[in-house]
Amino acid sequence: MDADKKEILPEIEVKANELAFFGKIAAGVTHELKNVLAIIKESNGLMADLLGMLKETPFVYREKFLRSIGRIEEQVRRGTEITSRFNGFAHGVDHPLASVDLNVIVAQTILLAARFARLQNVELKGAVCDRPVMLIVNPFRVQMALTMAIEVFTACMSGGGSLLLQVREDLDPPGLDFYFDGEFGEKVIKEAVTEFSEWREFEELASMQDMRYEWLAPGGGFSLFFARTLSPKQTPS
Amino acid sequence: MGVDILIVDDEVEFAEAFAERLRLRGFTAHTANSGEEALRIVDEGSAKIMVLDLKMPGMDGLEVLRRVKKTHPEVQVIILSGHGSEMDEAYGRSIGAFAYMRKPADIGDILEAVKKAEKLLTNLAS
Repeated sequence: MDADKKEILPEIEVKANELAFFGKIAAGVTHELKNVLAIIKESNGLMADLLGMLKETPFVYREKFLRSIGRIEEQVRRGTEITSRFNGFAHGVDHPLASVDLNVIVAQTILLAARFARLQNVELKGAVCDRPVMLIVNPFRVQMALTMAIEVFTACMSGGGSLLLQVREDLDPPGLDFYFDGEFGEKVIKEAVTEFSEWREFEELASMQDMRYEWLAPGGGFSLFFARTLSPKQTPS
Repeated sequence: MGVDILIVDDEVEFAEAFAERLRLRGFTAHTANSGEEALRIVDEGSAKIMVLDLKMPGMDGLEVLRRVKKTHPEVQVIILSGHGSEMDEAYGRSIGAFAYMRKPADIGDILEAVKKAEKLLTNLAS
């Protein structure tokens, strides 16, 4: 192809392609991991079955084996939850605009961001609704904005404690309340806004997704509100 | 011996561990690591119930399901996949899957599906 006739993709399209590629690989990897977990689960189960068959046979290490089998089962369950949520996250880049349940986004975000919070000695908790709270958004960007907010807030919670994200379907538009337990919310938010450059990125992302926020007073808290659909001025990339 | 169950999965270790657990519970369990091998075993009459993975090299699980339902409609197929979406489940059921489960699944849940499939086979036979 003639070099000067070669079409240069705009940067935004390149970035979208990069993201789609990452999502595709991530989805494939989670599928492989589920197969690995299935093998571990069945092999572990087989050991439990065989031990069960030898109940009457004296075996000094029976209790230790049973405890290990129980631990493996619990970790397989934990690994399955993580890979399922990550798979959902990876598929979030499939569609720039999708109809999604806010409860699902919150549950996914909490599971995937829990580790960041734990590193700050903060427990991340979620309270979801019984009924779906449907939004038409870019799920990947919403999750990115929520994770950014979580990272910044937990970094400001110097005393540790817990951060609760509560889905509010009773509000119009629907929203998400952040409650800081163990810290004075006003202090956390003030520090987040003044100290962290990531807060600017969060504000930009939130604005692109038609999310607006408010401080909850008194005592301090934070609310995010989601438009049910993107406004006409917003164009999905 | 219990009903013949065929486990179709390209993950050899999974298929063998699962088959062993079924044998300990009184079932006659066979394994196939490809769609082609699965169809051959079904043609030999060695499977009444199939536990089928979807994503396999070569012939995928949905194609195996379509062919089995065409040539041996009495064989009950339980899909057990690490992949699945709700759309996959709906499609699988629409082309004849008896049940759809996601990996890794508890053996108790799989056995419950197997028992229901057995009951259906008995009703079909009578």
